[in-house]
Amino acid sequence: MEEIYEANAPTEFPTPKGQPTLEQNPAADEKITLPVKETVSRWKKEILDKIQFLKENFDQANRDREGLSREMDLLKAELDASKEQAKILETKLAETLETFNNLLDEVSRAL
Amino acid sequence: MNSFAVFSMKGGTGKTTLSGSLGWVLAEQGHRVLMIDMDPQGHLSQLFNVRPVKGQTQLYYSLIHEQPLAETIVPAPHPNLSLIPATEDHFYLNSALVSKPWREWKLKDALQAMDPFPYDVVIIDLGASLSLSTYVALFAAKTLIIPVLPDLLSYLSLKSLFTFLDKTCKYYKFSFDMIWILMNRVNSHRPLDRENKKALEKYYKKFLMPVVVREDVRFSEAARERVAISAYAPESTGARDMTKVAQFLETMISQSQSPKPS
Repeated sequence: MEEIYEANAPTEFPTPKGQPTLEQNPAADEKITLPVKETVSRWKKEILDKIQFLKENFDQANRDREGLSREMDLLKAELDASKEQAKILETKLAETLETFNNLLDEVSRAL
Repeated sequence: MNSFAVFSMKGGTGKTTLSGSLGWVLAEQGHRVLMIDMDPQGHLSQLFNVRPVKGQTQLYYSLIHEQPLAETIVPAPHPNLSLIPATEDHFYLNSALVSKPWREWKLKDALQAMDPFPYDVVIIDLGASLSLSTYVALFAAKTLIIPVLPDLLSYLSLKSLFTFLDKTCKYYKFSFDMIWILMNRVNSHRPLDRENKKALEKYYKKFLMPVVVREDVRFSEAARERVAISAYAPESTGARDMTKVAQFLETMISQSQSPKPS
């Protein structure tokens, strides 16, 4: 891959009159170390943000679950009460039907 | 007067973003900065949300009809920053310049005619094309800053630009004081970026700025808010890199202007 850079290396250069010659690159060390340090701290911050976000979501989900289970208990109790009521009504219906049948028997005997 | 032209033949290398950011940093440091938007697209003017007021002289009339350049200047959002904005007339500047004598030196002459010169630094932002207005802008500058991306196409375009600069400077007997290649959007964790940087260090060593501008999304966010990155996110990587670029240029200029020992 490096051949492409060599093949396209410049052949003509302008000659700026005040161009200094930089003997050493003062920022060279910094350029190697700083991005790594900054990237790691950025990643750390991103991960902590994500953990915080997930924690908040988890707490909210727990609160929602508690609310829903309370609502479910309430509905269950109502269902049980309704079942009891249904049983009472069924008994009453059976008694009424029996009374009705007895009356019908008595009417037919009287006729 | 210190004047910088920010130019590269390849598009999308960050010329306008770097011009605007550099201008802002220098203004923050107390320099009186004049920015000239020579790109017909007018992105620098849009970045700072600056337009000429109604009836104000525009750069076109100043260069073609030789009206004072001072009349074209508009204040920018920073008190130390002024701007000569681009207008629709920039599209016709090239054709209008053709018939003018000494056309390539029009902007330089117009700047020199401002006496006393009320600015410490002039920054000229150019579009990615070679036209008469490019020559006009380049010849008004003492220092040329060439932003490049860490990719192969940017590298290839540099060779053409250097050939052009060499021939142009010889033909017109013109010379910059300094030429600096500024690597932009560098992410040194990418192998290709490192490879490209090595190639630049090898073949353009004399011209490569030792500070780079690293990749930072804050540049785009700042542009959306129409401010320079140093105003939008002063602690960001990009803002700190721009400060380093400004400091490097200041150092180089002060060194070149200091009297040399005999």
